[in-house]
Amino acid sequence: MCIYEDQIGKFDWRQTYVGRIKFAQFDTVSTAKKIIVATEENVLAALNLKTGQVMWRHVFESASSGDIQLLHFSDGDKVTTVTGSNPYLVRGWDPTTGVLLWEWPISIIDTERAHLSEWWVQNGMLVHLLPAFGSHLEVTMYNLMTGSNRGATSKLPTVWTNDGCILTPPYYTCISGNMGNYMLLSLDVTSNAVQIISKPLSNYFSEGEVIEGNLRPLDGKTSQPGFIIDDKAILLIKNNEFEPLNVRLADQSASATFIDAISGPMLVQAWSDENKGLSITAYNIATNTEITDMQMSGPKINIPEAELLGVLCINTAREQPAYRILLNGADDAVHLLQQGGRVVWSREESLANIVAAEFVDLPVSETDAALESEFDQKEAIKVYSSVWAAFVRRLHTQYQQLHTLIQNLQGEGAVLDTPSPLVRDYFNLHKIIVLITDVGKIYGMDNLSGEILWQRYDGNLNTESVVMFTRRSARHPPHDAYVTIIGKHEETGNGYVISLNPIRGTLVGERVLRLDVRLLQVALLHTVDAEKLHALILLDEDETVQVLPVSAAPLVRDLYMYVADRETGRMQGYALKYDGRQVIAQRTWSLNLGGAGARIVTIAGKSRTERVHSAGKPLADRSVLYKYSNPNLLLVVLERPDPTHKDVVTAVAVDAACGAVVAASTHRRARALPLAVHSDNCLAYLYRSDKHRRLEIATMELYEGNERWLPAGTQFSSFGCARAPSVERQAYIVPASLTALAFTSTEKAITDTHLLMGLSTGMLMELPWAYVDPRRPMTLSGEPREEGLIPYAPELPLPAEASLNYNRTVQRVRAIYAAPSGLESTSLVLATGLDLFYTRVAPSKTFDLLKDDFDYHLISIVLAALIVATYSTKYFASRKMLKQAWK
Amino acid sequence: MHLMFIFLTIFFHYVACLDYDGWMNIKVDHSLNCASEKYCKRGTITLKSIRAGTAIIDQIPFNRKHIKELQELAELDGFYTIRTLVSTAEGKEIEFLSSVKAKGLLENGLSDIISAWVLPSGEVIAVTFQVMNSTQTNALNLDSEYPINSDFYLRHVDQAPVPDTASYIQKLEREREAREKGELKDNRSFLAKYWMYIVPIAVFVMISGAGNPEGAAQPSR
Amino acid sequence: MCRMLSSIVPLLLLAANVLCAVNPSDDEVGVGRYIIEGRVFPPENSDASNWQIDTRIHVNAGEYIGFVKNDGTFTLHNVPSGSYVVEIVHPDYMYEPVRVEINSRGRIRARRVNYIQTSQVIQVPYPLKMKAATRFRYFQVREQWRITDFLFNPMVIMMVLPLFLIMILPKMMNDPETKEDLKQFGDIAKMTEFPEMSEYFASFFSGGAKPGAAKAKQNKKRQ
Repeated sequence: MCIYEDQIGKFDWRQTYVGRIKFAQFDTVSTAKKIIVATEENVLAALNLKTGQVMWRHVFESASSGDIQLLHFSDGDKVTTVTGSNPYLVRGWDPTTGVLLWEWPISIIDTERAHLSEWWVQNGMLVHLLPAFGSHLEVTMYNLMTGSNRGATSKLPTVWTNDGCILTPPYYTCISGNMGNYMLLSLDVTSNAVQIISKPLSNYFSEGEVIEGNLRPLDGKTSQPGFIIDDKAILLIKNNEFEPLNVRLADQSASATFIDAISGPMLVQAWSDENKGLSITAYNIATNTEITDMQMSGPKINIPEAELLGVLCINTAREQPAYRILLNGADDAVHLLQQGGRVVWSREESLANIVAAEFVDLPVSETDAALESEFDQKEAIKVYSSVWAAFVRRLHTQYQQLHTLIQNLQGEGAVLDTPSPLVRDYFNLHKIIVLITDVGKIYGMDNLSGEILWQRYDGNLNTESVVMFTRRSARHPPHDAYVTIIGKHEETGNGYVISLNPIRGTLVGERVLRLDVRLLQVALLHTVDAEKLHALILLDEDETVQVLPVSAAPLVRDLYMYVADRETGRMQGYALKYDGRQVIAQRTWSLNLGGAGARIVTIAGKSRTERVHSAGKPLADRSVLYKYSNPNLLLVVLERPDPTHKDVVTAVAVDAACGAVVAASTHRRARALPLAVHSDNCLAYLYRSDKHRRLEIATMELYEGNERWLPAGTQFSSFGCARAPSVERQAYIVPASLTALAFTSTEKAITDTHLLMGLSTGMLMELPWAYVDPRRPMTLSGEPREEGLIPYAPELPLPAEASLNYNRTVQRVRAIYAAPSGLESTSLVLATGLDLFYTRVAPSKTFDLLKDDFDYHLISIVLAALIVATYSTKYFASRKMLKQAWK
Repeated sequence: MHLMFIFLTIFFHYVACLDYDGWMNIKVDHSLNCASEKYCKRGTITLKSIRAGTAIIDQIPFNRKHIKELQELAELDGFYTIRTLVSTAEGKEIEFLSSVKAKGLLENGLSDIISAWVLPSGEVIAVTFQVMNSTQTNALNLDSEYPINSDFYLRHVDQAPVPDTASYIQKLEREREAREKGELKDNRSFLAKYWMYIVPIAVFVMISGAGNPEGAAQPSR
Repeated sequence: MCRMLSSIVPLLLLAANVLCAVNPSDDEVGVGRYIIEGRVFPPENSDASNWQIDTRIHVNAGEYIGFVKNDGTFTLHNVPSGSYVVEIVHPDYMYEPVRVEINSRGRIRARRVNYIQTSQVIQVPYPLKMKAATRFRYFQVREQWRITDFLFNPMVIMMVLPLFLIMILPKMMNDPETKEDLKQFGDIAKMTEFPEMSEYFASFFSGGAKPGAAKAKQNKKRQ
C-alpha cells in the first residue's frame, strides 16, 4: 500500500468494539473511574465511566476455550477471570493497566457435567461448584492467586437439586416438590456446617395466586444474595433466613438488582415496554419508600428488552447522591444512564458482529441533477422541440450555477447553520455503508467519518444467510434509492424481506414482508422496470417463483438460478421464464460435485457490478492471449474425508447457467478454508496443507487461446460454447494465517486487481495479483521478462509496507468488502471483525489524480523566475545592441 | 518373467496415482415423446476402464415424433433436458441432469457433445450435454429417422500443482555457490563500458574547436 | 537371474509403496496437556511503559492466546501435544515466529519456522526467548527535494554546461597568451585542410571560374 506517514488518518479510520456485555463491574477506587466488562465475544475490557471509550482490552480465543465464565472484581482487589470450557484458566489482571498478574489452570475430570459448573470468589478463594442434580453438590475451593487446593472436594448431599436451581453466592437455592406443594430450599455452600433453609413456597404468595415455581437470580452484582420467584416475588437471604421484600416485581420482564446505596439498601428495577419505552424504578428497602429521582419512564429512549448490568451510587459534593445505571439491550447496545433518564453515553456493540455490508451511492445535488437531466436525450426530445429552447435552458442552468458559486463564496465567512445534506461529491468517494449485524440491527454509516446516520432494529430478522440487494441506486431522481434485505424469520424460518431507503433509513416499497414459505434462492432481475427498479425473484422450497413487485413478472426471461446444498455437495440449476401468466422455474441441470461425503466449504461468484476491460493479455511476441470471460462462472470449493489421503479438497469452476464444469482440480491431504475469490478470469482459493503444515493459495486463470472463439462483439451465451478453456494453475505458500480475502474492484476495471488479505494477527495486507499469477515463469529470460512477469518464488512476500492499517490492528478480521468509487484508480475498502477499519486503496497508484506532494511552489517559482529572466534578458540584450550600434 | 510382469503392473498402478479404475455405465434418458413417465430411454454409454476412456455409445435414433416435439420446444425457446444415471463398480447410481437449448440441438443436426468429469477416486461429479455453436440450420425432414451423433469425452480432475520448493532451493544454492566462487566479471573493454560518456565530451570538444579557431582566426586577420 | 529378481522385486515394491503411500502423521493430538512458556523482551529503545498490554502470543493463528506479565514472561497452559507456530503479535515490532513441537511423551522442541523447507531443523532455545527483530516500516519516505537531484538532472547539465562554455570561453579567448597558443593550434589544424572540402568540390564540378570569384568575395569581406 505504501502510504506516507503524514497521510495517517486522512483517508482511514478505525472503530473498536468489545461485543455484547455479559458481566460488568464498576471500578471507582482507581483514579480513572472505569467499568470492567466481560463480553460474549470473549473480550475483557475496561471502559471509561465518563465517556464509554475503551481504555484497555484483551481479546481471548474466539472458540469455546475463550468463553468467559466468571468476572470478579472487588474494590482494591485485582480483576479475576475464569475462561475456558474444561480445561479452565484462572487469570488475574491489574485493573488500571490491564496487565496480566497471574494465571493457573483448572481441569475437571468429569467432562460431561463440567458445563454445569458455577464459579464465584469469596474471601480470596475461588469456589467451584459442580452440581449433580438429584444427589449431591461438589464444592472445591482454590486459593485465588496460586491455585492451590486446600484439601479435597467436599461433597454436600442434596437430594432436592434439579436443573431449575440457581446460584446466589454463596447460597444455592432450589424449588423442589410437587405441584401445589412447592418447597423453597437454600444452602450456604461454603460454610462448614450444613444448614439448609427450607420454607414452603406458598408463604410468599397470597391465596389464590398460581405458583409455577420458576426461579430467576437478581441481575448485576448484588450486595446481598437474592432471587425472584415466578417473576413476581423478590426474596433476599439474610442471616440464614429468607426475607421477602414488600415490593413486587413491576413487570414480568423486568430485571432487578439490589445495591447498598448511601441512603440505604435499594432495589432498582428496569424494564421496557413497546408503548411506554424504558422504565426504571428504585425502592429503598429500609424506609420502604420509592426514590423518586430514579424513577423514569420515557418512550424516547429505545432500548428493546432492557437488562440491568449494574447500578453505581456516586458520592458527589452535593447532598444528593448520583446514580449511574448500566443497561444492556436486546440489540447488543449498552447504555449508561443517569438518574432521571438522561443517557450519558451508549455503545453500539452489535457492530462487533457484522454479517453483510454494502456501499450505496449518494444522490446528486439538485443543481447537478438539473444539469444531468439536460443531457438526458429522451427527456430533452420530449420537452424541448427546438434548439433555442435547449439554449435558453442551458443559460438558465449556468446562471443557477453562478448563483450558487457566489453564495458559497459569500457563505464561507458565515457559520453554516444547517448541516450539509448528503449529496454525492465530485469523485463519488462519499458513500453510505449499509451494515447488517448478527443480532438483526441494520445501520447506515457514513464512510468518510464512520458515524452512524440511521439505525433500525428488527428482532424478527434471523441473519443466518442474509442477502442484501441494491435494487435502485440514487442516480434516478425523483425515485429514491432502494435496498432490500432478505433473511429468515427468527421463529418460523420462513422468508423475511425488509426494504428500505439506505440514505435515510426509512421503510419503502414492500416495507417489511413476512413470507409463508422458506426460500431456496433469491436473485435480482437484470432488467429494470418503468421506475428503474430491479425486481426481486424469490425461489421457495416448492420450486415456485415469486416476483416482487408482481408487475415485473412479464420482464422475466433468460434468468438462471442455482441452488447448492452445503452438506452434500449437490448443486442444481433452474431456468426461469414467464409463460404468460406466471413465472415458472424449470430444473435444467444438477451436479454432484465432490463425490460422496463431500461438503461445500465456500462458493465464490462474480460481483454484479463487475466489468471486464480487456479481452486478453498481450504477450511478448505481440500476439494476444484471449481470456475466457464467462459472467456466469462460479468457483465451488469442496472438502471430503478420504480413506487413503486424510482430506481431499476439490475446487470446481462451474458455469451456473448451463451447469457445465469448466475446470476442476484436487488437492490431497489438505483442508479448505472458507476463503475464495473470483474476478474476471482469475480464481483463487486457500487451503491448509496437512502434509507440510502450512497455508497455501491456489490460483487458476482461464484462457481461450491465441484466437477468439467467437467473433468480437457477439454476446456471450453459456449454451453456445462447448469447448473447455485452457487453465493455468499454480500454488504458492502463504507465510501467515488468513481470515479474510477479497479482491479490489473499480468501476471500469482498468486498474489492476489486488488481493486484500486479513491476517490473524490483525493486519490487512494488499498483494498485487502479479505475485500469485499462475503464469509466473521459473526462470527470467527473454519473453516472460518482456511481459512483466515476476520470476517464480514459492513463498509470497508479505512486507510491512503492504499493510493497509499500519499499526492499527483490527482484531479478528472476519470479512473485507471492497467497492468501486468514482475515481478509476481508487477502491474503497471496509474490514469488519471485532473492530471496523475503513480506508482507500489505489492498486495502480493514483494515476488519475495529482500526487499529494505535488510541488506547486517549486513549479510556480521556476515559472516566475523564467518569465522574469526572459524579459530581463530581452531588455538587456536590446540595450547592448543599442550601445553597440552607437559604437 | 512372471515376477517382472507382476512387478511392473503393480509399480505402474502406484506411479500413475489414479486411485481407482473400473467400469462405468451411464444410462441416458430424455423427456421427448415419453408416454406417461417424465423421462424415457435414449441410450447407454459404457466404459470398460475409466483410465482408458474409450466409450461405447448406443442411442436410439430420433423419429418423426421426437423431432416434432423438439421443434415445438425450439419455437418456445425451451430446453431439451437429459437425465443420466451413472453407476460404477462402487455401487450406487447417481443421477445427473443437463439441458441444452432445443433450438441449438436442431441447428446442429442432432449432434451433441457429452462430457463426464471424474475424480481421481473414480467418482463422477458431472455429466454435461452441450452443443457446438454452429450457424448452419439444417432443415430436418420429418419423415425419415435421424441418428444422434454424440461425442463422448471423459475428463479427469487433475491434481493441482504444489508450490515448487525443490527447484527454488536448488536455484538459491546455485546462486550462493556462484557468488562464493567469484564475482561476476565485467570484462568488457574500457571503451565498451564508458562510450556513453566519451562521445558527448568528444562532440563538445569538436564543436568548440570548430567554433573557436574560426573566431580566433577572424579577429587575428 | 530369477533369484536376483525375486530379491529386487520386494525392494522396488517397497519403494513404489512409498510414492503413493500415506505418510504416518506425526501430529496426532494426544491426551496430555502441556505448557509452552517463554519470555518476551521489549525492543531496547522503546519508551512505551505498557508494551505488555499490546503484546499477545498467538499459537497456531489464534487457537491459543497468551498474554505477558509485567516482567515479560508468558505461559500457555492446557496445550495438547502437536506442532504449533508461536508468534508474538505487537503492532509496532516484528518478532520471528517459532515452531514448537510437543511430542506425545511431553518433550518440547523449538525450531525456526521455514515454510519452504519444512523439515529443516534450526533449533532455538526453549523456554522461548523472543527478542524484537525490527520495527515495522509501514510507510514510504517522502521524496525530499535535494539540490543534487536538481544539479545532476541531465536536462540541466545539457542546458547549463554549454551556456557555461559559450559565455566563459570567449572571455578566455581575449586573454593574449591563450590567443597565441590557439593561433598556433589553428595553424597546425589548417594544414589538415578541413574547411576546404567545400571549395574542393566546387572547383571540381565547375572548372576554375568559381574559385576566383569565391576568393574575390572572400577578400572583399575581409576588408
